[in-house]
Amino acid sequence: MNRRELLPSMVAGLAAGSTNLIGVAAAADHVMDPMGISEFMTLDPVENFRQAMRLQRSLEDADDILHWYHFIMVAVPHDATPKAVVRWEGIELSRHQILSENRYRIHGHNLSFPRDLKTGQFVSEVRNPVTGKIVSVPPMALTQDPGLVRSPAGVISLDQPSAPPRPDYKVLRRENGFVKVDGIRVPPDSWPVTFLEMGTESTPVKTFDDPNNKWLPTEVSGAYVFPWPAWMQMGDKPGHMFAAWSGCKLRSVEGLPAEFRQRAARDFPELLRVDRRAFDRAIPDLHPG
Amino acid sequence: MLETLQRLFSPTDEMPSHERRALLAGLPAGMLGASAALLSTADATVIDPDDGFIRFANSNEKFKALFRLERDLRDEGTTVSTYQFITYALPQGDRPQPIVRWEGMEFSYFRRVGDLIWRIHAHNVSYPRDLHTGEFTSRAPNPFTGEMLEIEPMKLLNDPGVLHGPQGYLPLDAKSVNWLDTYHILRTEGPLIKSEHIRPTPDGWPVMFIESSCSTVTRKDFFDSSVTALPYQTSGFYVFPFPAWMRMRDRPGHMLGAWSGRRAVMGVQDLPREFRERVARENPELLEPRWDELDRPLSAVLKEALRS
Repeated sequence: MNRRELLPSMVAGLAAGSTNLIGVAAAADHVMDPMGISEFMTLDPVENFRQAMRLQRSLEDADDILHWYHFIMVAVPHDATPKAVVRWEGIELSRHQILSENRYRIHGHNLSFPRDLKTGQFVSEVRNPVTGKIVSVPPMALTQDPGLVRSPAGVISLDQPSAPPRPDYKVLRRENGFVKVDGIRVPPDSWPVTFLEMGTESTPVKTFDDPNNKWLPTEVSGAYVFPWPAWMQMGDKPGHMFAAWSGCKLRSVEGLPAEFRQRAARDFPELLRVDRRAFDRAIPDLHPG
Repeated sequence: MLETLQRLFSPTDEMPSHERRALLAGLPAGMLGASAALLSTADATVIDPDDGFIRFANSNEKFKALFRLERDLRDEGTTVSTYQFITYALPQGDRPQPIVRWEGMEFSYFRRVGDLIWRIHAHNVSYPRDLHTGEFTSRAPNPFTGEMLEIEPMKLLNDPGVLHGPQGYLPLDAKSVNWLDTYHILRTEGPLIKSEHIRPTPDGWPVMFIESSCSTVTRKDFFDSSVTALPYQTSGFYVFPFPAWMRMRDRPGHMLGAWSGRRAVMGVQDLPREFRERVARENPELLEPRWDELDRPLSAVLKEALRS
């Protein structure tokens, strides 16, 4: 079964239904007694880390992990109505390698192309709805992430490797036919103050409950808060941006939508694979936590 | 990927389509409550379904797709959704912080009052839960002031109601006929249809407010004209001012809530058990639609809107 066949059962069969008789019958037909399940999973910190890692990435000692998504950016000026600005289609492609038991080093990058809010066509300029100006919007190729080390103790950003790990928030819960992980990414002190990232990833219970599955298919949604990007030309105006995404984890770039993959292959071919040379760099003074 | 998923999922997850057909065949037409014309969204009126972004022949068809997804195309119906969300505080110049988790429901009840216009009333109930343990709670620390906050359940019972049609939303307390348009996009993602909807801020609401959602349904259901109310999974966010219980006083900034949820399959009986039992214990009346809300007479402005 491929994603095309799998996902309908994830959405319709396992978790939801309509209030009409059709939906009731459909739901009842799929599952024996899933109704009303919403349980927080009580796991010890190591197991919580491992299961979150399995959902968000994989439990292989080394693996390339690809997320694909659409997201919409919203401008949130202080004391004014927030307004949608531009849509994006993008990927996060990253690799982890195990350093020691339950401790992984991760490097990756993001690539996103702007799309028109209404038509969905690729664009290179949009109207800033706050200032009214037409602004140029370049593709986003985020390739400067210093990398990180993740363990049950938290996250160490590799631009400050000797700093103690920052605990991160990962709560797992069962919700009818799904297992979900709610995550909040705690940014390092070196990042802009106005930054926050949160998300939910979900996989069918059936896949989660089979311990042989080290890599789980997931649907992902989330959001992040960040300062005005330069291209918005907001000057000193107080406020920030907000973006909300919806997407999924894919097994390889072959699964990307054709239009996105073709543009990425043409404009940024090197970003359709992970630059593994990052793993060759030594990490001096890495905190032992 | 294909091999992996073949190993992970058995075909029994798919409901045999003939069973749904058989069920439908046994239903009197009246039980479905939606005419063939209303259900046309599911077929010829959708253009280019394979190109990623779905285009519709006209605004009526686009509206029907939205209403079928978020409510129900029957002349009268109810929709219950269940969700968990985390609220964050974003004081200006400070790093945003999570404050508290909530579990809630939205119960809406609606009736068709015009050619393609429904009158909708709804109520919401949400209970605070501890960020880390998930247990029901009534307290959480405010990381910016150091205070321990007292947090009450949220019961939103005073929504004035709204008319919803192809022109957008018209709140029932509107002083003039000014339909609020929305941003709504439908796009295909393989076997899924995703509906992205950004809702407007009615007059009189706080300036710093926006609500946006992304709901997911199967392509199979979407193109099945017999389904009047589409099963969905949903995620979304909303921006809103600091509530009084945050005790942020005059500090500039705002809150943000991010949710993940779904349509409840069989109404309130499909709500998560612990949540449903608490509502049943504390406010059992909120597990029923409040149909009397729809008996209140419409204002002259609203009557004019329905005539025009």
